[in-house]
Amino acid sequence: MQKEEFTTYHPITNIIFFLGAIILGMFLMHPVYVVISMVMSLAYLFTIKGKKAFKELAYMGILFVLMSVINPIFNRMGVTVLFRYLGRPFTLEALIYGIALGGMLVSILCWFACYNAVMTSDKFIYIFGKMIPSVSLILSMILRLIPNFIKKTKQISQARQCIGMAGNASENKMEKLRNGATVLSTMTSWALEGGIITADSMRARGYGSGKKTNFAIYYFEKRNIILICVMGLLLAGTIFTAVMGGAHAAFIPNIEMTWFGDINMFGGAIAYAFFLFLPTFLNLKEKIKWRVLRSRI
Amino acid sequence: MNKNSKKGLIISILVIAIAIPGTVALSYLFGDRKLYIASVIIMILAMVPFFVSFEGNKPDARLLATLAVMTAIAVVSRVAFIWAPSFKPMAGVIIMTAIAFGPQSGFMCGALSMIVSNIMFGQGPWTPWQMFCYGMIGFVAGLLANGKILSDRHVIRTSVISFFIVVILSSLILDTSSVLMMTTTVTFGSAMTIYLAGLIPNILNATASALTVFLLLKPLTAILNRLKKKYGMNI
Repeated sequence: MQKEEFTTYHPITNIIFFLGAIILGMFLMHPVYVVISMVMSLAYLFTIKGKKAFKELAYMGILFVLMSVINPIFNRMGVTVLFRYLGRPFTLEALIYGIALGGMLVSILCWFACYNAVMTSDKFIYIFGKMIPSVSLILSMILRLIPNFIKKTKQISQARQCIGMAGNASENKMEKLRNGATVLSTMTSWALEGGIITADSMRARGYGSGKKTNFAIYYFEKRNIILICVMGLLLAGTIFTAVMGGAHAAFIPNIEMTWFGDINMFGGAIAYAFFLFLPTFLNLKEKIKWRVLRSRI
Repeated sequence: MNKNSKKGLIISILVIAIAIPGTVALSYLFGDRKLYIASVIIMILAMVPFFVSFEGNKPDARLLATLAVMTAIAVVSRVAFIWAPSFKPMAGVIIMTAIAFGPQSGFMCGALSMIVSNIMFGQGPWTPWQMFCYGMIGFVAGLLANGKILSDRHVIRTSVISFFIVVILSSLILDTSSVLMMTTTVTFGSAMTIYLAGLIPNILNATASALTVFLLLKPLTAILNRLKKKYGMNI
């Protein structure tokens, strides 16, 4: 698959976008805004993952249906009664509220799925490394240790199989568990000793004697400044119109919300849509550029 | 008290005295989703004092490395049980770390193992809640260990108490997050349904953790004591 364009931007640019998308997504419950967020997040997820995105969509679809149906069962406030079950009203307002909440949650989950693909652990450590140096050092140590441990665990259990202690092939559940515990404690003592040797080696090289420096491979080029400025403008537009009441929506007991006639709502929705469309736009632009360049050859 | 930990103390007091009540006050302006948004912000703020005081103590290389190893083991124990939904020994490993190294290390182990395993399983709106919940499991276990209630001398008592720590804190923190995240208006009925539905996975998870503590507390303490002797450690 082709490399994703937004990923190549600076981590700060990435995190600003995701913070904006996720926080605004949690705040704005207006159905039009929820639909915008859902469509844009699905479009972006699709440009990142291609057909694999459908697999995740299945789970989200189930969650969406569950939330839209279950909420009105518990929330009985609302004026328009659709039908009654067990003597309780099932109202239109509560149903729409449930659908809006389900849509919001699905769009947030989609944004997080995109975040997981774009914000790799090195980017995360780069951003927080200066704020919390010791914690980010531990984080990078953990991330390095995990593959090590999995490898070592396999070695230990293979060695145990060679001497006829293959507990994991046993039918007996308790024996299986005991074998697992032995492997784990062998691995633990090996790992802890390795950790202390690492620590002594760190101290011998002068850890803690000065300010900690970080290695990073990211460059803050001009395109980042441009993108951050565009994002800032669109975010400011969305937040300003939302504060002016553009994204007002109340569901219970009566549905009351601003509609496209309101200039604040119209402007805010457009700014929000453009903001969320930015990474998808970058990806599409790159794809089209490649196609054009290739066809010229 | 050195300069760094003084700074940490001031930041912690500012967070607890001003930022959290401020969030509660501001949340009245948030509109519909105020409960959920305010709760996420408070969850993140509540972790700030722990991280700040950990940084302020200038932990030495041995503590950092040991904590990294224990956290990595906790994460691996969650990954290894990926086939068994909600039966995870992770909290057990965190509790044992807390018994060995105290409440602060327990908190860091819990919070970090959640954030790292979510790097593999996927981050989501649940990350701050899980970090806080497992951090608190480590913190409470560490406090109880300081009070000699949890110790390697009484394995059965320790594993039973671990079971209750995990059930109570997961129900209190994780299920409350589901209530706030999944319901439009929090009513008694909807909250109770989610708490009751969450109880079974919580009990499974706590059983796995208690079993881990029961099986591994003795061997782990032996390993740690041997290490302390061999390398002259005093953590």
